[in-house]
Amino acid sequence: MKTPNYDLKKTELTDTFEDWIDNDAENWDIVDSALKSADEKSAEDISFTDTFNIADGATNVNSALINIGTKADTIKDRKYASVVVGTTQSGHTLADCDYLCDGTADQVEINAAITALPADGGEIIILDGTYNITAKINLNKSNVTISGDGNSTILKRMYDSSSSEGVITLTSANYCKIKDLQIDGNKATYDSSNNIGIRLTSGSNNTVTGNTCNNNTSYGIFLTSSSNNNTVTGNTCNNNTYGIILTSSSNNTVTGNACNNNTSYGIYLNSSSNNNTFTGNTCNNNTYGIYLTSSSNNNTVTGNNCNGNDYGIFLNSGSNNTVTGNTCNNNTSYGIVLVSSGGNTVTGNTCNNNNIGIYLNSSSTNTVTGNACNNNTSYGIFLTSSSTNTVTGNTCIRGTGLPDDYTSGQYTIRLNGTNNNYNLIATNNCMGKAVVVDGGTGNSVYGNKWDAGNDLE
Amino acid sequence: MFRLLGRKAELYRYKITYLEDEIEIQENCISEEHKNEIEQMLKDKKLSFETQEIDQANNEWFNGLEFKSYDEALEVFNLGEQEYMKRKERLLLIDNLKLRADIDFIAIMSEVEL
Repeated sequence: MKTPNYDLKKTELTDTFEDWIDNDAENWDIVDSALKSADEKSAEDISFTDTFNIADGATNVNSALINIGTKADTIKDRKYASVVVGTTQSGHTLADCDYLCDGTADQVEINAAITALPADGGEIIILDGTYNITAKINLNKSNVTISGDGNSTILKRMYDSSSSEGVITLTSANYCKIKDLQIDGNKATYDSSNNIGIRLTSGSNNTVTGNTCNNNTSYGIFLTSSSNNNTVTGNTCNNNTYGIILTSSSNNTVTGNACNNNTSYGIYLNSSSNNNTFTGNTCNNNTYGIYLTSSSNNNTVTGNNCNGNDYGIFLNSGSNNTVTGNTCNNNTSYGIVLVSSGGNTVTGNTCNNNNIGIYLNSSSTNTVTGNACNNNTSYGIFLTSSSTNTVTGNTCIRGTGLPDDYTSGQYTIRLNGTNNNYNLIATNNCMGKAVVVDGGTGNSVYGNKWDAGNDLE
Repeated sequence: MFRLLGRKAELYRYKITYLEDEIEIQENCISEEHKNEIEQMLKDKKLSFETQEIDQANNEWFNGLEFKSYDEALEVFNLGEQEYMKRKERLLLIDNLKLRADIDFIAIMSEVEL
């Protein structure tokens, strides 16, 4: 039995404590007993130093557990359906686990464990080791948690899928959790374009967290067909074609993931995937860092790092998205790109050392404000065939902001061609080279600072 | 064929046309140096291109003029040099007449004989 050192607040149960309760039926019995004999007089914050304190049934403990009663009840429901899977490859025996794999077609035991869970779910704990997977792990039951021991639990793909599927494929299941697993796509040997790490189809309120999904021929993590209200957090999806992809899926939270060195996209959003939040992800050294396309609207992309890609953040045919506080540096083409996109807000981003900092192509009625677009090779901000945009308060300078820091082909802000109309370009810091307007009508260009003595008014 | 750099109009001297990602792109250049820079960039990218010189012989009067907006610049450009000069002279005459009227007014009020 573990002897954890917990800090349990009266209104919440820490994950560590929750794990401890889940780990052993005896632990739950202790909590259950404490709940039944609860004393509501005290509700102070409790610090547990070891399991013995809980077993003592101290008054404070009881009160704290009553205060988290609702959550504890959920745990109680789950507690009695906990199944452990191990493998002989790591020296496990049936004394360690309920299902013992042998290194061949290990999904058979794992799927059997899922099947064995009651209809209202439970938990599958997969112990450390390498599990050879020759068909999908089929998660089709709600309220199921599949958890591993981090990168020590490896689910290794040993087959090519004949249709698009993940090593773990969740279908029409809700409130599931897939966590702390390493899924090795093994694309050096199995290179079908159907091969995916984790796939969620028509699943809602699921959590995918702490997994490593590398080396998949196709996608690391894939949410599709109205997979809504899911949380994808703290995963690593490297060396795939796409790191994380959402199609026709809305209201999801994708945060704190690392999606690097994927051949196409770090994070890809497609087919009317709306109201999703992408926060604090790292998408470096892909072709596209984060890419939103095909009427993916009302999404929030904030605080992400998209460096060293060809394109940092790319919005294609997207509306009313918010792109704020991202860092898009050292991309070979563009930091942030909007193509055929309208009504988006691009604010407070850092887009330095790209070819173009921010690029609007055939995009109208967007707000581009307060961004830093410095030392870009060709343009700080570049507009082509784009109208009624507001471009204000940005900093677009090269070097120390002197004319000599610019060649003829380098610009701070440029309205290129004759199809940019009715844009507002004002109060930008363009030290060293004034805003260039090639054509168009009704553009208001004023108040931009471009040398020590002159403002454009 | 000109651009506005801040307030200053600059005539384009060269037109470079090239294909990138199957899209035809046209880049205009205000000087030979500018043209050389763009051509070098395209060579580095291994893109084929075509450069044409733009005949601006009749538009030299326009180069370097300053305007508050591209719309104003375009209006003047479309007027042509003669019409622009007429307008400029007319504006100058109006300014002079206003100035003379102001001086006359001050002289009358000051009872000074000019």
